[in-house]
Amino acid sequence: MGVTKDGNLKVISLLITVAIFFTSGNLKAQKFPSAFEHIDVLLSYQQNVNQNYFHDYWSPDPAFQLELDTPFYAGNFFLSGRFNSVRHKTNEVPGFDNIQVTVGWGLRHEVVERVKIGGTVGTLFSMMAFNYVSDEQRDFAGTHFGSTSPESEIGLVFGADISYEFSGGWGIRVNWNRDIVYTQTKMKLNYIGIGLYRKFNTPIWLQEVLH
Amino acid sequence: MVTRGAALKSIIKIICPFMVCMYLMNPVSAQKTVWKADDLNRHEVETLHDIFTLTSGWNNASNDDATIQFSRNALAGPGGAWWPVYLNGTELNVQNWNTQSLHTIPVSINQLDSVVIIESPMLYKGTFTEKGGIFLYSSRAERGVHAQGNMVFGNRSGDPGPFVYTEYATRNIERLGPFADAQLSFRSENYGIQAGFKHFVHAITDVFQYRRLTPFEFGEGTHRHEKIRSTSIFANGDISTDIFYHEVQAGYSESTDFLFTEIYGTEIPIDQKFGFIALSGLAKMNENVALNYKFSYNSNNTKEYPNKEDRWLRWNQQVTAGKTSISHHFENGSQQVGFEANFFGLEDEESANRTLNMQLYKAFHSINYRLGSGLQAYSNFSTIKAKKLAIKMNLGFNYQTRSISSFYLDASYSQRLPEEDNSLWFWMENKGFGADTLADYQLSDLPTRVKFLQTKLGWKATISEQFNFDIYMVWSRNIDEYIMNYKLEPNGSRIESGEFDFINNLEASFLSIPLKISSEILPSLHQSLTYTWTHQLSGNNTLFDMMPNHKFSSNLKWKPVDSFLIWTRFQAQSATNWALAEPIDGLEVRANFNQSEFYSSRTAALFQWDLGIKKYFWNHRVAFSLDMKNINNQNYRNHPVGPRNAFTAFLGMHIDMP
Repeated sequence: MGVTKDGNLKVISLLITVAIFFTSGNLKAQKFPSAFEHIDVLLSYQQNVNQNYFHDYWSPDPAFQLELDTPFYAGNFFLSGRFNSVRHKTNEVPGFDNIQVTVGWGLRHEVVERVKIGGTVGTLFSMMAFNYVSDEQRDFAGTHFGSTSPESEIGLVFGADISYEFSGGWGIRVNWNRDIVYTQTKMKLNYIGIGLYRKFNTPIWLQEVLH
Repeated sequence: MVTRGAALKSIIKIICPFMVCMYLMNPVSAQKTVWKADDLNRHEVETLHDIFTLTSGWNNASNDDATIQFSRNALAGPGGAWWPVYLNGTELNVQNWNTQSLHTIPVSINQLDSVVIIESPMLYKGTFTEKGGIFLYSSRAERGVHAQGNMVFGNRSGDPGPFVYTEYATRNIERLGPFADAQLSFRSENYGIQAGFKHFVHAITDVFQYRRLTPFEFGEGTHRHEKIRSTSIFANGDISTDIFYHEVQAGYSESTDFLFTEIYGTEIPIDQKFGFIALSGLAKMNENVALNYKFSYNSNNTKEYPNKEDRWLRWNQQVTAGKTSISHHFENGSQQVGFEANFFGLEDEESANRTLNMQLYKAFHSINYRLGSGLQAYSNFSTIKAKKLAIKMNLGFNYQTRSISSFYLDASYSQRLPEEDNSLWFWMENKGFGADTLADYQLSDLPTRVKFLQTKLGWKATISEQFNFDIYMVWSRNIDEYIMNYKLEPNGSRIESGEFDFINNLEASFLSIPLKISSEILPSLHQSLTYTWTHQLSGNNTLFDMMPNHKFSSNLKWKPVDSFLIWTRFQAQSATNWALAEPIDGLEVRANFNQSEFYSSRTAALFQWDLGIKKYFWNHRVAFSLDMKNINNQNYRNHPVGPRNAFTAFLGMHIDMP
């Protein structure tokens, strides 16, 4: 019952992130006028790219993700939703539709004019609705005291991205994400995505509510 | 809008010279743990369970880690006196069958203004806390109408997900919660009223617990989950003038629960109803003298539900209590003298349907006195009469130097009567409770008096308003303590109580050194750290290897702006061994065809990292929180038969309407 290697890596990653957070220049500042001043709306295409035991049974189709991203008191806050249809590769298991909602935080840094690189961490909530469950599959799950109704699970997301901003608030962003869904046997999925975003100034009334 | 820290302001105006100030002026107040509303928020405490996890000297052996159902043997050393539990000064008799079900108390942590946890012998508000006590104070609104509500859902990781159709299939893990509470209050110049409710659902899906409970399954469907369900209501009203202060409060809680009892060595489904009503107050005789009074009635009705294995578990108890005292505040200190009477009635339906009775009478006196030049002395004395007479005393000094330091020395000696424990063992042996139904569990003699000695030597440094340091050394000795030393035996893949060894002359001594540091690194950044080292000096070692030698907790909270906070906590604790679980060490429990877990008498060292955020909106009227516990996903059990911990996330919504 010790700490797993996987757990250690996550702890180290998150500790570094928290360390960055607490040592950032904003720590001593008590005013954050830029927080929530604009909201980026990003629509992106996501493709699962890795292979592991999960892929012995399933193959995720291309996914689409909608993301809201806004400056926070330090770094950025984001909320995203991703829809992914997952096909089954064997008849033992059903396919399923996956909706994943992620709340997270990240840091972005401008490396050259209009180009930013960033890193993110987040908490995900993954919902899985099975397409068609045969009687055999239902019986199999039942004997293991599992549920054949829609499943949900929490997890963590680690990501990195690079973005280029055109004029007029439009931009393009390329990202890599590592999703770890904490099912008993973990689902570890890497996604690469590309998307277009548009920056909107946040209405004053909304800024007041958010502040 | 409620500021819970300031909520008692108007009441304090009346009672401060007599009750609150006596507590604040007590030199040993530095040695108790006071969780004010700000502290509760600072540490993102969500349940009483969290408080006990964070409090240095307490070793929680709750069997579900979310509710609080303590067993005596795991508390604060051997056997142990009960920690009395008080709500706004009224004792709540929530114990039955040698467990203490704090989750049945009809207020939630969100409805509290403060929690005072005492881990040492002292007289606090007229109650001698031999090994500790829990004093809860509900929050009160300032002027006007105020509404508050909270809703929290939790999700413990470990579901099978889509793998349920594969060779990796495991059993389902249920969501936690919802934990919901709300309260409405009104306060004017001289009076205030409030009413609230609390509801929670806690699913039990741990493999061990699920297997133990299987014979008691009720409900339909393949994927049944046993759940603790509890609903409570609470109301409170107070009125004050320049001379009088009166308060009336009442609460009722109804729950279906699972009670782990030493007798059966497993959980028994129960239906529990707890209720209380109390009237208390004070009258100022003059500027320095006040008369305090209190009357209360508690009713605790527990019965097995359902009872498929014919395991009898009933506890229908009524407790009526009255207490009065005089407080005197003088130039160099204060003192209090008082008297209390408690009348217990326990029904025994199966044995000729009779009511068993017991009375406890207490008298107490406390004084603290400034001797001058920073030196203060205090004395607490209490005597209790039931069938026999017992005395309890506590003496100490506190010396405040001209610099940043203060030193304190405290010594106590107390005798405890078996009646005070209100334990199953007392009612069985001395009153014949369960003579027909518990005939297989007869005991040898209970001791007439249990003795407890403790000395404490400490140094506290207030280096600045932002930095506090407190370290002390505690030596304690238990004499003629009694304990049910029982073993859990396998029964297939289930467990049950096996060999009983009732020890009635147990002696054991301990040495512990707690250290507490708190500081504000920046005005918006607060940190606290506690560490406790405990070592057993004498007595039966195997019984107390369940107490961790090292316990560490570090908390950091950053609030960069008024409407956002982020907190993180790291906890560590050394490994423990539980003698009671040795016979089941290695016992395999199959969750399904390809998933097994094994009981272990040893719990591994704990390393747990938690992180959370809370964001307020609309001028603090609405807030959302995300709290992640055990992010490092350590598979850990607090108790050999307790649930396995894993990465868990809580999402909460909080409403606070002025």
